Amino acid sequence: MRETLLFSLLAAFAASANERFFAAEVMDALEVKTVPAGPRDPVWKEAHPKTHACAAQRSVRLNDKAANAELGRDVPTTFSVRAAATDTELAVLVEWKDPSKSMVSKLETASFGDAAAIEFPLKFGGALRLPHVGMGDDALPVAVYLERATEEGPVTSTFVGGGFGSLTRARFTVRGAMDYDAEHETWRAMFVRPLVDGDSALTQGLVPVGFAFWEGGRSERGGNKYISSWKFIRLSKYRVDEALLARVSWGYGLGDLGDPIKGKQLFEVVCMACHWTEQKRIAPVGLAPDLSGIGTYQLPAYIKESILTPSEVIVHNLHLNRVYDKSAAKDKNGAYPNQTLYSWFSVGPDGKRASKMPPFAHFTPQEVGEIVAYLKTLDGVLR
Amino acid sequence: MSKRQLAMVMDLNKCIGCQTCTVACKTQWTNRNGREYMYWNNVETKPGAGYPRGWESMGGGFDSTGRLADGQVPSRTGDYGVPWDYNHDELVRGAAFEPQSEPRVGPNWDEDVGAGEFPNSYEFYLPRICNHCSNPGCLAACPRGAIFKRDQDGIVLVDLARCEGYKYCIAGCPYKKIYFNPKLSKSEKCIFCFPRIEKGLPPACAQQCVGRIRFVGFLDDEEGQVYKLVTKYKVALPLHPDAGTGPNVYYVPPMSGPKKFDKTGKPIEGSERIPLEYLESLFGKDVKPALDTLHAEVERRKRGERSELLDLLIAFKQEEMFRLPKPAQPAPQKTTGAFKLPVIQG
Repeated sequence: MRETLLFSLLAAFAASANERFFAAEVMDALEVKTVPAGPRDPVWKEAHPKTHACAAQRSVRLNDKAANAELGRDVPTTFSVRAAATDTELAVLVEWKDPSKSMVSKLETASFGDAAAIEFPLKFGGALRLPHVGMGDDALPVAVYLERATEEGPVTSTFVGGGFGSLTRARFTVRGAMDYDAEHETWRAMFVRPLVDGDSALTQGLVPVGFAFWEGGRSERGGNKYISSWKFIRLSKYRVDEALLARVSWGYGLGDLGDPIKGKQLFEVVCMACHWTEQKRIAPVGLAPDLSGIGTYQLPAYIKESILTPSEVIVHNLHLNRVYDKSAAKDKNGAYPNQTLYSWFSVGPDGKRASKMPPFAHFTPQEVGEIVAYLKTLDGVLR
Repeated sequence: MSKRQLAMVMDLNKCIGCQTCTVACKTQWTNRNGREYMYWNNVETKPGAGYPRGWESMGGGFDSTGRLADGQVPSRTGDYGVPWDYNHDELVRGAAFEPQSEPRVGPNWDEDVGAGEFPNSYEFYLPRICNHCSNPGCLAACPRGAIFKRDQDGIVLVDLARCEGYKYCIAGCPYKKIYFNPKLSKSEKCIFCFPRIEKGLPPACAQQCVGRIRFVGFLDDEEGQVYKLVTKYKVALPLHPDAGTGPNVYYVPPMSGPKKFDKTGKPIEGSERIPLEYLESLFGKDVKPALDTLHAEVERRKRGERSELLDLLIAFKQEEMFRLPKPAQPAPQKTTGAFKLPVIQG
């Protein structure tokens, strides 16, 4: 009797972790015969919208004065997503509020366009981890679909990405549409892609998808953008991969995360030697990723894994030449060498890259849960 | 960063602001394909706001610790200036002569304005190209690594296949000498006429300079005039060395010119028309020793003695001002006409 009770309690516990994960991160794709014709197609009304949060990308810092001035004025920002799927195609509709319509100008050099992008991992499923949400990583690239508003109409481009600075134009099949609703001050962008496009197959029950937004009025382009964490589209025709689900849903169970206040204390003692948050900055800028918005754009599972096995995902800093070593001698042409302190990885004799962050595998699961709980509170908004 | 470094020296005492360099560059590179508004070479009057207007206060470069500093992207309408036209067609119908759009700013907007009160006002010309810096701010700023410095000569170029037109390079350049091409949606800049360099020819701006103010050569070529002016005599100085990028265009600072006048119109002995502090704000603390050297050499020449430095600056022979390796293979000979004359063998 007792054993049965314990078993059913555990089952309830597990079910609730999955339920919480599904409620927070997963949206159902509407099954349709043909994908909606455009962002205003009434068919979209039948698809259930899901609202998600996004935050200004802070992991790497860029050098535009106007864009960086805006970073200090972040407000909690959300967007809504709908998905629809046929047997062969997937359509994703994103909507976000934007009181000012900004377009890339044909003449003005200091103009920037509103834009949205979605990304899918090129490979996912099984016990495979997800690519880094910041446009993938060395080992696991992503396919990126971008739509940007210009004076000559929206422009859709596709890329393959393997981390910051690596984005490269690549030909993926996509139909894009972008539409500004002046009455509701809302952009709608629709992306339609085949479920299977060359090596990129989305034929699974849970399809990871990431989102990015650019507000041209805030001089946003490139790395100055708002991003979400990995979200998931539920394709009901396909089986949910239990191994993937188990890996990415960590942190949604009741016992996974601990006390964020204890986590904050631990974080400030250990992690702040290198990392920044919006509230507190001790380390020099650029020594390690700025974690100001990490709670919004990383899943708890990723944060946990990067504490325990940081070398599994190598995150690149921007160009190494951004900081040079002024204490070193100039070369014969008057150039200072780069300050390698700001490279976030080292390359071993075997050519393998290792994160400069040491693994914190000695943390107890409780301590890890506490730190993750604290980092999940960091949404990049200055309070 | 590169194995060797090409450099240019410009003697500001001889620049007459004729813009022949500007036109040479524009007709060669920037009169088409979205580059129309750009001046890879421009000549501006100093003191003045320059081109783009106010570029010296738009940030970029490196701070005192060697870290890339934030900067601005200039606006085409507000800072570079858009050409305007006049209502010529309406004049015959009796309209008043006026511009069709409000002229607000343009390249060389404040030509010959300068500073100071008459009769003691002062100005000089400052020709500017990309400085092909030793630690380029544009290169450091590009998140995509699309900007590179050539190993063989240190020329800084944009890889247009990698460029996505983010304009962080423009914010990162303290000289605002990299431009956004709105037609291609990519950044473009002075290429130091590298196709000419590869043929052993100087950049078009230097070749065409009527005042022969421009010297071109490798910094480590001890026989070259560039080396002598920069390293041996130390009379050629980089512009805004405080921006921390190690610029490789060097300027012989302007000597002060006529003395200032007092209220009665008599010259004031020992007065300097161009304030030293102003020159130091442009070229750093080495201006004083450079000017002292120049004045000492002028005095030496006045005494009838020889001066290698002044001979260099007079630029007797243009070909000696440019020390560039000639290409190993001669360029294919052009044939004139479609038919070759038959070779008659006797």
